[in-house]
Amino acid sequence: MMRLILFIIILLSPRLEAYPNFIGYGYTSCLTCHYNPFGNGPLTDYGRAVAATSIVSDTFYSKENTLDKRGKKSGFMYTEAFNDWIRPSMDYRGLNLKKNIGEDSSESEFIHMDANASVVLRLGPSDNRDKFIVSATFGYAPEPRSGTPEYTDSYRSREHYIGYRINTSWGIYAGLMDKIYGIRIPDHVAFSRVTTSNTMNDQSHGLLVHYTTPDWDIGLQAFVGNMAEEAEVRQKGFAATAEYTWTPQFRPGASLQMSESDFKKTTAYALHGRLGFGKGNSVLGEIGQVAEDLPLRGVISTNRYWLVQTHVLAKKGLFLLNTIEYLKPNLDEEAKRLRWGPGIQWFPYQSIELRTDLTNTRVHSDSSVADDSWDLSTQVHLWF
Amino acid sequence: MVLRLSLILCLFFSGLSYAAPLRISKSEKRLFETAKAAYKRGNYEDALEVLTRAFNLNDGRTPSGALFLAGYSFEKLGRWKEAEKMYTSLILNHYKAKNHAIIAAYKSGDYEGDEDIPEKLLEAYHRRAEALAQIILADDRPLRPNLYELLKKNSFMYVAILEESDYEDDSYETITERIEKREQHLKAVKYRTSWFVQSSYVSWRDEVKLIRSSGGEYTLKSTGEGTCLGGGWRYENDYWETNISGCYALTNQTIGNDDPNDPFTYFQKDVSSSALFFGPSFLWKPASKQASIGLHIPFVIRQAEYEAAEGDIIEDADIFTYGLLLQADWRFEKWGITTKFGKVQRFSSSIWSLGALYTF
Repeated sequence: MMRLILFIIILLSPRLEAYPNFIGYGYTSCLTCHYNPFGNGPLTDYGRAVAATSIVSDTFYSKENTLDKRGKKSGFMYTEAFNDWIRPSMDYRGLNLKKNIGEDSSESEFIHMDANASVVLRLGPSDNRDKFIVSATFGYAPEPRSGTPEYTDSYRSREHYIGYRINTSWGIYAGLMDKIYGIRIPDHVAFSRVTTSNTMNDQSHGLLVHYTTPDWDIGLQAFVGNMAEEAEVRQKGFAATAEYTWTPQFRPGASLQMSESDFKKTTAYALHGRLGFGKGNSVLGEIGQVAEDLPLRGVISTNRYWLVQTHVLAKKGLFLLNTIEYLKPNLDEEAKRLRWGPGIQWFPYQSIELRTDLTNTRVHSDSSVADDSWDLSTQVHLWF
Repeated sequence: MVLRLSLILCLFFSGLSYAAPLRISKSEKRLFETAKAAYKRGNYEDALEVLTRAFNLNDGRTPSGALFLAGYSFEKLGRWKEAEKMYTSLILNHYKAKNHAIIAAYKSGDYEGDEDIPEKLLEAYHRRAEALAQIILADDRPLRPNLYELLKKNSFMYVAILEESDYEDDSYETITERIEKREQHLKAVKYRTSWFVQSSYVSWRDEVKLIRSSGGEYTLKSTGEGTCLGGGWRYENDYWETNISGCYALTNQTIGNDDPNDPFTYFQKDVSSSALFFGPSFLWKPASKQASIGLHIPFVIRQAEYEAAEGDIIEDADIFTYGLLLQADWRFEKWGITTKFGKVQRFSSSIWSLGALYTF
């Protein structure tokens, strides 16, 4: 039976996410809650316990179900860990998107954004199992909505890598992973993620070196593209990011990512900052530019983006958030796009996240006047 | 339980441990036993009545057992001042020399504990510290600042002495914490005022009407953005904030009617415009004093220099209007971030602002 469950897990899968805004709870480093030192992907036992206790609402828990009990039962499918070397998990994220509200072209659709199964093998010595890990996440991915995808399999490996912590400061990871860059907010359509090619299907094979101290998180990654893609479209290059703990609730950082293929050469760089305010409240900010050279089309351009995402903790488990984005697609032109998205994020129960965002998009141009567009997205995120 | 045990021990040993300046007659002893029984039954008023009949509680020579029992009874009835009086009498009259030595050592700053303090004196210190804390923490009668500080100082002194002892009832450890928590609460609910300046990026959409001399009306829409500079005054505590603020923005607009069905096309860019925003905000700080969320009601005067062909009229070039915006602020010491999003009447679509605050 256990083998069957394991088999199903390995054949399914999306990602579990604890969020960068949790700096509002004093969590500065991703490695505290994730196996991947730059976040995203499966949660550690500690991360799962934090999600089950500190983050979720207490509304639907009885008094007998203490935080201690919830923490213990925060493993796979609400169970305690049945051994200390394998950590399976499942994750689903679905989105109902109503676009162009109030327009004739308004349409609504439900998108299964993510449905993943993950397994992490903790193969380190018994006193430090996470010294050596193997992590694999496999799952469903919807077909891209725009462009002509060369790689459109509905099921794919999201990530598979091995990680070795040489000591408490140094770690080395090899395999298919997200590229390290900027702030990994979960909004995969954010300008900061799309324009820098760091969205949900942009993982790349490569080698990552991570250095961490209480003050610093520094990463250097060499990547060769996703080996499942056609060779000529694989972007090869490197990425580097660093974050410094200025104060326990302020982490500024910087990122650089350079890559090229036969079709595209890009250089992206950004400054970012994560600020916590009191308990649970936060402001995340990132500003960056992406220089893009498309030799076959003879196009060279640079875009600029910035992002501000804010969270106010209204009640335990309930956040009021606001995502404000700016994109100037070409610095040589005046046109720019701005998005303003107030939303509500609710963790009503362990492993359940509900979120609704209203997004107002506005184009500022010196050559035309276009109406604003309004979109409403409602998503459910489950992880077990 | 600890309290009850201490009381029993106190009552049992009170006659043996301490020199009782006054002799206890048989009738007094009987009445004392009656008072003790009443206390055990929870009849604290009765216990006090019996004690008062048997002893002069204002006399320092009254047996310590009676003073302890009276003190505990007053505590149970919430009469902390009277309880404190009993413990003070006990300390000053029954342990005069020892108490004097301890307090003198403490005040000299080199007190490092004394192994010879009688357990009952430590208990009296504990109960007096608790009584003083309760007097401080009482809501109904705010104390004069000097008196408040004196009582707090004495309460903390007894706690410090108990910390250096082997006294077993560790409930005294919460006294300091409760007083400090209360002080933090009082500070948190106290309203204060401050001035602030702000600079915000603001973006909105206008809608105006073009009336052509040749006939026909056209709706023109514009997109305006700019920097809004201003400031305000706030009245707040750690949970709520009300403020009134204003800012003035010089902006550029692009205006046009991009409807392909219109027989007439209007387009103008870099239209100089200005807007004055002012109004109150009502904010709630749900989880910490550093983040707040609420409503802002802006009143808006907007002027724009739209150009029209001779004879054509653009209505609503200058307007006075109002709106309702959601506002969220994050503040870190003097600096802060502010966001606003909502609807202003006679503007099409929404208005946004994202800015920085500095509080003086």
